[in-house]
Amino acid sequence: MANDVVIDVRDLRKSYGELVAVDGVSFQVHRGEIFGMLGPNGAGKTTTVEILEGLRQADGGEAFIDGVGVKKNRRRVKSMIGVQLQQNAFFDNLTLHETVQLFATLYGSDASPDDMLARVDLAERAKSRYKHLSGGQRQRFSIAVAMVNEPVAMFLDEPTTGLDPQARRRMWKLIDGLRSDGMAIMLTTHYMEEAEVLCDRVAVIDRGSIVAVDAPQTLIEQLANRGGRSVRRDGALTLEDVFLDLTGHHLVD
Amino acid sequence: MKIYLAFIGAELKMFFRDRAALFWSLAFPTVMMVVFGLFDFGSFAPPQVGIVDQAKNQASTLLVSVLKGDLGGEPLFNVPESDDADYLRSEVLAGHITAFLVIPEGFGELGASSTIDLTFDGRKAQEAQAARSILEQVLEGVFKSVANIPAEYRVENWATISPTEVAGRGQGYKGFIVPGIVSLAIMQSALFGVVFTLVRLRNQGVLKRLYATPIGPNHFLVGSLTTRLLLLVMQTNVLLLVGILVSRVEVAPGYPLFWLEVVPLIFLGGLVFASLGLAISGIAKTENTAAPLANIVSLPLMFLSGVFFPQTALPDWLLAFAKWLPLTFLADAMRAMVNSGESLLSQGGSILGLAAWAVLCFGLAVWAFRWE
Repeated sequence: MANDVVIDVRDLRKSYGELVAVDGVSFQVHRGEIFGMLGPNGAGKTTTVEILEGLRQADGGEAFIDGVGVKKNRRRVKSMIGVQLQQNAFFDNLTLHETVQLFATLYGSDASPDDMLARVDLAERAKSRYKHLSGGQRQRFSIAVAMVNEPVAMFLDEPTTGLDPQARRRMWKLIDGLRSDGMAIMLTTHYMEEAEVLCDRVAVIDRGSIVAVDAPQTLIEQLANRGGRSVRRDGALTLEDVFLDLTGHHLVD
Repeated sequence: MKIYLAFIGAELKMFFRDRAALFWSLAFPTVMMVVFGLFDFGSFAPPQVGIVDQAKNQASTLLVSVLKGDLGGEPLFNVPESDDADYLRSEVLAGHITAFLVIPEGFGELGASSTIDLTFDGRKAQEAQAARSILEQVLEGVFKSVANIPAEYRVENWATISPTEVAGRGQGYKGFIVPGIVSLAIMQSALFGVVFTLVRLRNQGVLKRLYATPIGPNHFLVGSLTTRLLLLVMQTNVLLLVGILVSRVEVAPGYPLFWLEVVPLIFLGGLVFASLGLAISGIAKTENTAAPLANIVSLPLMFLSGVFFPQTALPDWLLAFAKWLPLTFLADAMRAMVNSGESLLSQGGSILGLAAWAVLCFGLAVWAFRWE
């Protein structure tokens, strides 16, 4: 099991002036696992992910991707991982095929753009320009780009925010399918349903700190054992209730 | 290397697909060039007429004084300093002055009849005709006051004017404005092209996505700059063609190597202004401040660098500053090469000036660059 660890985060800290964005976060993500970071906006999810992606420097702590320290090997880590940023964007006037080709070159990979597009069901849009894609297609496309370098770890920052329910389900299916590639997948979300459906394990994060890490079902069972109450009329407990119980406030205001 | 080429290829494709940007990068300078080419600033001022006084007597001195306006009143002619006939002829041929006249020995002496030679630029026949009428009227007046003789003794046609038409090669204001606008267009499209593209990419988050790849900023910066320089070469050639075909300006007469030598000049000028654009978009906090900042930088350059009018029109204190501006170096070199067919190497001073600016601006661009 220990050899399976791909993302290893140890006591990560990051402040912006007075504001403590990430306050001693530690967790591990294994090969073939989908690990979710569940929390409201401003909880420190994006900051944590962007430190792991080499986009920001941590003030303290260290993170390793497949044994490589992020702090001192940012370029190398970047070449090993796949990323989907929260505000994901590509060149408006390039076609999907051209964009995947460009990014393959940037990563020094010889991946075939057609293969990549086929894996996210966008093969028939290869000649379309990025600006003509719908929101759901854009999100799927960014996964195709994120896979050009056959990454060991994939970071998805709020992959379904702003999508309609149908596009969201399609995205879930796609992410679930990535599991079979053996990547470690880490996603952030503030949708408790997304975390329940998709994630093997969930870290509940609030105000820069992780308050609980476990399988969604385990977290819910633990809440039931504590005699927690549901906000739903049918009385079924969800991660929303877990979050409310642990932090004293709701996931989405 | 592959990464640079990939960026250049992708950016060229994007540029040509962005029809609006393509249109404005060519249409605006073209319109400016054609419209300004229609202006004839010569008509606002008295005709430029050189004077060679071979008589040097009372009558000729009086004539010259009246023409120059030395006796009070507006000058009738704008008279250049030199009174060397050969030099003045070359000035007419170059299109710098409209005409020159030669006052022969013995002019104005009683009873003698003399002939004043008026040599004028055939392309400025109207102006020359006006000059001739002025001259005739003045001669009449001068004759009366100098001769001081009763009307019945007056000799008709005591002085006649003998006009000679020559074909000038100079290109007048059009010749001035075409290389000026070409240089200005290099600045504008390098500066604003880079600012707008970069700010948009940063706002959209494309730059951040590139930052998440293992490339360094130099890959992106050098790729962008190279693309921009290639586009500038194309744009400049199109504008020069417009100058030749529409404004009827002769470009680099007798020096076909110009078309080769202009490329490094465009590269150097483009590098200065594209780097400046990179620096500005790095320094500006938001999209809303980048464009005004670029305008604040480019407007003074536009009017102080001798693009629309010669820098000699500037007051001395301003000229002392303006002659060091990057667009001055670019426009000066461009004008010398376009108008007179001079070689690139003969423009060493301007090249050196541009190179210094390029180093400064590129350094600033690297220092100020931000991915997000």
